[in-house]
Amino acid sequence: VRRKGRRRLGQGALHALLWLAAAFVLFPFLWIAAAAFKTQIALLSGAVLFTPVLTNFQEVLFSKTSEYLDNFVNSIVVGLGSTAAVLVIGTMGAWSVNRARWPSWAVHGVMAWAIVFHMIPPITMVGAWYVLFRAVGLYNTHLGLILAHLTLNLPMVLWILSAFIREVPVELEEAARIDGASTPVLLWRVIVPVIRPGLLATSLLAFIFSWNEFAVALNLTAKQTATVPVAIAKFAQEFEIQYTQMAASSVLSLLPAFVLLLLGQRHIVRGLTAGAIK
Amino acid sequence: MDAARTRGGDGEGGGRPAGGADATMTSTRSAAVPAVAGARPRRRLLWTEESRFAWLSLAPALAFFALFVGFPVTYAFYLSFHEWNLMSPAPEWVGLANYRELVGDATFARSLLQTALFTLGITACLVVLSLATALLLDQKLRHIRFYRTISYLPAVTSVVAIGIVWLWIFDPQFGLMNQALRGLGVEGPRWLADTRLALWCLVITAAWRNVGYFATIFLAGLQSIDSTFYEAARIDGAGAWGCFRRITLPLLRPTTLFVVVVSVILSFQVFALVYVMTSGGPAGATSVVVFYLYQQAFTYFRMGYASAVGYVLFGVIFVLTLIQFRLFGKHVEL
Repeated sequence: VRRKGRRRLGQGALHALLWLAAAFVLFPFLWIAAAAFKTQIALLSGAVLFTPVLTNFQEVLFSKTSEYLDNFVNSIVVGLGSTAAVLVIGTMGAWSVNRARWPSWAVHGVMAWAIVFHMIPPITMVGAWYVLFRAVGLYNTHLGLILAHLTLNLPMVLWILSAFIREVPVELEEAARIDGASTPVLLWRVIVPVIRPGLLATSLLAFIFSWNEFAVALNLTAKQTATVPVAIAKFAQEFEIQYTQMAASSVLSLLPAFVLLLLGQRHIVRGLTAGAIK
Repeated sequence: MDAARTRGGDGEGGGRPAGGADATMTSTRSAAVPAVAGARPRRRLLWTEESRFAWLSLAPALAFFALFVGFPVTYAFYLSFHEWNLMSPAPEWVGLANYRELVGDATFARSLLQTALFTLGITACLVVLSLATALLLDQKLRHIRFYRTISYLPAVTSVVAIGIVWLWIFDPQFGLMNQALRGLGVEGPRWLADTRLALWCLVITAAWRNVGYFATIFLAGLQSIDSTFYEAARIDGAGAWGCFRRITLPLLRPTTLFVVVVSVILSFQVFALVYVMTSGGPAGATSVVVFYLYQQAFTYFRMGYASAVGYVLFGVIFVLTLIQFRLFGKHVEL
C-alpha cells in the first residue's frame, strides 16, 4: 500500500533488481549443476559449451567403489527417524509446558533453557556423546546419530510448537474435557489436528536440519553410517579429487532440500517466523 | 537457532507489532500464562489423571535434556580440569592448568580474533543485505512469491555442499571469479590461498547462504508493521526515505535485534564452512575457535583442553548476547 505514485515508474527498476538478485542466488547452483554434467576435461578447460554426460551420476550412484547410495540411505534413515521422534517428544513437551498447570518458574526455565542451548557449540557436546555412545555401543549407529539430532532439534521444536499450541483456544480443551476426554485422547484428537500446520512446518525444518548437519555426524559416524554431508566433505579431502563426481554428489545432496522447500515453502516460512531457527 | 516471536502469521498477513526476538516472546508468554491461570485458578499439581499426564508428557523432553545436554555439559566441565586423550583409562586431574594454558595460548587468541572478525563482517553484511532483500521482496510485484522462494534456496542447503561450490568459485585457476576477471584482462588474486583474503571469502560465502533466511525474518517484521502508520505519514507529507527512517527502522528494532543476536551466536560457532573450504588455512588465517576446538579434541586428542576452549567460547557468546540486549534491547518491549 506504499507510495502508489511513483510505483509504475519504479516497477521496471525493481524487476531488474529482483532479476539481478535471483541470478546472484541461482548462478552458483547452475555452475555446480553444469559441472556435474561435464567430463573432467571439459571442466578443467573451462568450456562454456559442452556435451552433457551422465557418467558422473552413474559413477557416484552405481559404481562398485562408491558408497554414495549408502550415505544417502543413512541420511534418510537418520533424518526421518530423528524427525519422527522429535515431533512426538516435542508435541507432548510443548503441550505440557503451555497447558498443564506448571508453576511459572518451571515454564520459564524450560523455555529459557531452550534458548541458552543454542549458545552451546554442539561440538563441545560431541566429545561427551562420543564417550557415552562408545560405552553403550551407540557409536557409529543410526540410532546414535538419531538421538543426537533429536537433541539438537528439540529446543527449536519446543519453541515452534509452543507458539502454535498457545493459539489453540483453551475453551476447546475444556469442551473436550467436559465430554470426558482423557488427556491422551485430548492431545491426539484435539490438539494435534489443530496444530497440524505447525507440525508440518516443524517436521520439514527438523528433517532439513538433520539432512544438512555436519559437525556432529562427522564425529559420531564411521564408514558404514556416514551421512551425505560427511561423505561429500571426505570427498573433498581425497588425494586425487574427482571434481565432476564431487559436483554430481553435491547436486544430489541438494535435491531433497530443494524439493521439500518447493513443496512446503509456506509452512517452512511460517515455522521460521513463528519460532524461528538457524 | 531460535526464537523469533514473529507472530505475523504465514508471512503474508499482518499481525501484531514486529516480532522481535527473545524479547517479544517473553511478553507473549506472560500474556499467555495469566490467560490460562485466569480461566482456571492455579492449583498445585496433584496426582490426578491430568497432572500425571502433564508429568509424563514432559518427561521425555526433560530426560533428553538431562541425558544428552546436561550430562555432556557437566562432563565437559569436569574434563576441563583434567587431561585426557580418549585412550588412557582415566582423565588425570590437572586443576586450572588448561585454563591457565589457554590464557597464554597465542593460537587460541588469534582464532578468537579471527572469529570476532568473521562475526563482525558477516553480521554487518547480513543486516544490510537481508533488510535490503526484505524491502525488495515486500513490494507488490508480479511473481514476487517466486522470488521469495528463490531467495530462500541457499538457506535450506547443506553448508558442506555450499562450501564446495564456493571453493570452486574461488579457485585461482578454473574458478568462476578468476575466469571472469581474466575475461576483463585482469589476473585475479588467489582468494582462499591468500592469507589476507581467505577469511573474507568465507564471509562472502556465509552471507550468500544466510541472507535469504534473515530476509524472511525481516520480511515478517515488515509485514507486521501497520500500514496506517505509512498512510498517516504520507498525509503529513513524508517521503519514501522519511517513512523508512522514521517508521520502518524504529519499528523493525526488535527484528533487527533478533537478527543480530542470532547472527552473532551462529557466526561464533562457524565450523563446517571452515572445515570444507580452508581447513583453517592458509597458515592458520581462517582458524576459528570451533575449528581450533575440533583440532584439539579430535586431531590432537586433548579432550580436557578442548573442553576448556568450549567453556570459554560459551562464556564469550553468552556475555556478547547479554551485552547486545543491554545495548539495543532498551526500547524493545520485554
